[in-house]
Amino acid sequence: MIRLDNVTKIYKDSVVALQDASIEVGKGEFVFVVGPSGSGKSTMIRLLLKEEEPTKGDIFVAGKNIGKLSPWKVPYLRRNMGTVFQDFKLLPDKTVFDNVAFALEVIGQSRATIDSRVPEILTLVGLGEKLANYPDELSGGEQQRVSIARAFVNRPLILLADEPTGNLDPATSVDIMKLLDRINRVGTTVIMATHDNAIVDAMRRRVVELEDGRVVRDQARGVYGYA
Amino acid sequence: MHRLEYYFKETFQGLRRNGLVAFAAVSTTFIALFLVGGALLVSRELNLLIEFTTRDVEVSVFLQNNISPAQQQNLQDILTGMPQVQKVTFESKEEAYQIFKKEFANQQALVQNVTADALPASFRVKLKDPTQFAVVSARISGEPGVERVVDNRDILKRLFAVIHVFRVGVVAVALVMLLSAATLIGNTVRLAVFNRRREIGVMRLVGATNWHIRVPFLIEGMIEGLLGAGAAILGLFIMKVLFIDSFHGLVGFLPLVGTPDVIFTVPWLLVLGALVATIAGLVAMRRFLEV
Repeated sequence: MIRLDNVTKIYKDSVVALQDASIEVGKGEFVFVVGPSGSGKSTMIRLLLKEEEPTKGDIFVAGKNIGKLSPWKVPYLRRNMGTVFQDFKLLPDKTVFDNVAFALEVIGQSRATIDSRVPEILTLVGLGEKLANYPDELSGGEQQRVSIARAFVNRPLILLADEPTGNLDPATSVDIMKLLDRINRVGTTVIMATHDNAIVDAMRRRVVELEDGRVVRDQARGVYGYA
Repeated sequence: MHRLEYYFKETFQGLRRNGLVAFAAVSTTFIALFLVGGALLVSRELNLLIEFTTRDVEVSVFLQNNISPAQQQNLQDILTGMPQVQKVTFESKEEAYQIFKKEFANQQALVQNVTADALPASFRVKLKDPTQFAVVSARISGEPGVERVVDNRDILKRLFAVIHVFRVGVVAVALVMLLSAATLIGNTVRLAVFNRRREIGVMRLVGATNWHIRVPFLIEGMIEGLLGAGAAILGLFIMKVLFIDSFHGLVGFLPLVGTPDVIFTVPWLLVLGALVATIAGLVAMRRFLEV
């Protein structure tokens, strides 16, 4: 589903974010990308979204080399990938319903589709009662659920999560992980960048560890660090 | 249908949010297009005036007092034989005196001191194309019996030169105003983009196409342009009623621009307003909205 072939990313100020990184992620896999801040986790996510171009190497998503994708096709690439971030990226002047509906509106879905799919997905993430609330009336965990609902409402093949539990307390983080696990179980490939060792250790999923932009470990049922 | 609803919803929210800058953009567009419309009408009026004043333009060939009948006949033959000439009429000393008496009827002292003999006889030559004066003048000037060749257009030419400068000036000012209008519209678009950068960020993440992101901002700019154009059209009609219509009583003999001329400017101003706004919007967004 996703393949990085010897990908190197050097930013303009000659900061090396990724160096010769190669990984392959199969359909329906759940992968943690771990490592300290600045190890290249976020860069990997940005490269997959084609927000950045790799300095060297190729990236394949669903069998296509995204380096060869023309700019006007990038939006269609992104429709196959849901994204969840540490800071939720919700729109404060829109209700929960409208925040999720927005993702469908802007890709030109019909009102009927929106009206049926949005309540459905919000019920799935456990916010069926809060459609009319605004983001600032919700807890951090609830806001992250809204952002997951928005990322998943379009049924993407891939879900990219960049530190989704970074702003949440441990108990809430567990709830969010349960939700991501459910999304993974219906066949969605999930890639999650994190440095939350408790979660990684508890989930026992594949772990890719980055250090200074290099892949230093790729372990099938891994934990955060060597014991 | 849903798409349209979305675009217009987003557009009007944008206009509401940066009302003051939008107002500045609309006002500048109004002034710019009002001037452009004014320039169009001035142009039209000038054409009417030129048509009116040159319609009766003649070349006068004044004859010497001692001209012989043979020489006079010769001149008449030359003139009627020229392809540029439409009509030649002879004005005798007596006829010139009658016209003189009529024109200066309120200055009896002058009329009494002038006899028919003091006025020269002349050929009044009407040209097919008044600008061909020089050709006629060159051909006839040296002929025996000719005193002087006079073109009535000489006087008008100076007037036209002044008017032409005025016309160029109006167009120049209008262009400068259009440029400032475009800049201001570009600014409102940029401000709107900036105000909504969060939305735009989310839109990109969920895979909205560039055009889908841009269209509301372009419509916003275009509405500003069209509002300015509408105000300018209204302004021109008001100007026409207030000034030109009341002027009509004073100079009834001159042709003046009318309602059809004002209506003629309407599509031009609308198209220009929309065009300037669209270009301004695209330029303003060029750097902001790359993938």
